[in-house]
Amino acid sequence: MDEGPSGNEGSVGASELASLYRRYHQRVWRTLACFGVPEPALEDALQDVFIVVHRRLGDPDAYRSVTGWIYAVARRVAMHHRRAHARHLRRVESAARQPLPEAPSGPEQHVADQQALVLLREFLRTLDEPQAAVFVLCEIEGLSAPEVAEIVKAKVATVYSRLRLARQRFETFRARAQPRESPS
Amino acid sequence: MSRPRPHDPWANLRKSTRPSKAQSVRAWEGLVQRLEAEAADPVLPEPPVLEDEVSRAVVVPIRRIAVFSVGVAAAVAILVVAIGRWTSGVPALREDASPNLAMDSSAEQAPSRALEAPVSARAPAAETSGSSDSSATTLPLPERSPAVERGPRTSDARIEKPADTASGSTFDAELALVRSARAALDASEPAQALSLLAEHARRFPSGSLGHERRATEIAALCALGRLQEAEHSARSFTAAFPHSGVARALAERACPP
Repeated sequence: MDEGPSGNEGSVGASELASLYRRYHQRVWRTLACFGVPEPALEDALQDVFIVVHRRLGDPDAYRSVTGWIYAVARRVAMHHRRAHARHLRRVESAARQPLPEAPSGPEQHVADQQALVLLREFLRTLDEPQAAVFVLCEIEGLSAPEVAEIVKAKVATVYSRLRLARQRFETFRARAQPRESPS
Repeated sequence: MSRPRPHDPWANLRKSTRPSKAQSVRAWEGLVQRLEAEAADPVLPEPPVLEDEVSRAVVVPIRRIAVFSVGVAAAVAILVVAIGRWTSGVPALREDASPNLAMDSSAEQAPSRALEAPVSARAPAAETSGSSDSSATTLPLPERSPAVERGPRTSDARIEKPADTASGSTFDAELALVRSARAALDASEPAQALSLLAEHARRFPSGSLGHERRATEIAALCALGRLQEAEHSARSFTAAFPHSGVARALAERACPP
């Protein structure tokens, strides 16, 4: 976790930003996508994350856990973009949600293609934000509960509790999304 | 952090949810442009923070203000150097470029991220020498003037953006508003500045530049002679940003003598 740029604390520059971008931009992209940033806005959101990161380069607090820090920024930026997107949808009066994709045939296929992301986002919309954040960070990003606790600023026990509930809800959601298909 | 799991139902999603090479490069180019634009015309000498982060000890101590300013200039200089490198065809986003940032493996998106920079006919820019850290910055950097428009984005084609993001991201719209307010203030038009800041507050109530907005607002109130309001606003500003250098100055005196 704390594999931050050793000895780089305090240095501010493009090389560091480039390193962080190179190392994290795919994870940030994925996290933003999971957190509901619409695909057309992902590039902007990705930039926003690294703009914030750039401002904080040299801040030793940020380096206590680089990964956690960047995920936290990504979460924040995603919330911002989601709100902006929701406003946009209201404005153009096309807030009709995307229909659920064709139900895939089994749990493996559930996540085996691009539809998985659509499904996941559909599911995450049924959770409150803190629960969704925990689900994404633990389940998708594979972070540990203590790591996630630091990112979402909650107790570890709370993280576990949210995760348990979110997993239960996911099972329900999955069952509903494929009503006529044979269960896994 | 990431760890292999016996059965990982999300593995395919992780693999499939990633930017294309073109998107990675384009986002980086846009990022560089935005940083260049900010460095050329900083709103305030202190880095803005997301308002939600203020309560955490995120706010940069005073001594960092100078570091930041110098750092931005240095960053731009390094970026310019990197532009030269890119135009000379250096591979971009090399995985081995930054050994002290070695990626933790496991469960990570298969890092086939050795993005090749397009070695196209880009005009050379600032073929400066002496980039000591160039090995770590062989990213594809744009070769454009700081004021150029942002590159074509998928977003432009896919959806109609809301009015507040028409010229770029939400952040750009925010930045444009606050900059306009600063410009109005500098042009001795404090009323107009206040109007722009009010618009910022309305459109971006929890935006990234709340810090700048409020500082500029206080200066505008002072310029209008609304000293009591300025004092009141300064007090709440100081409470919200207790570690801010600007806030400390305002705590002494909201308006200049």
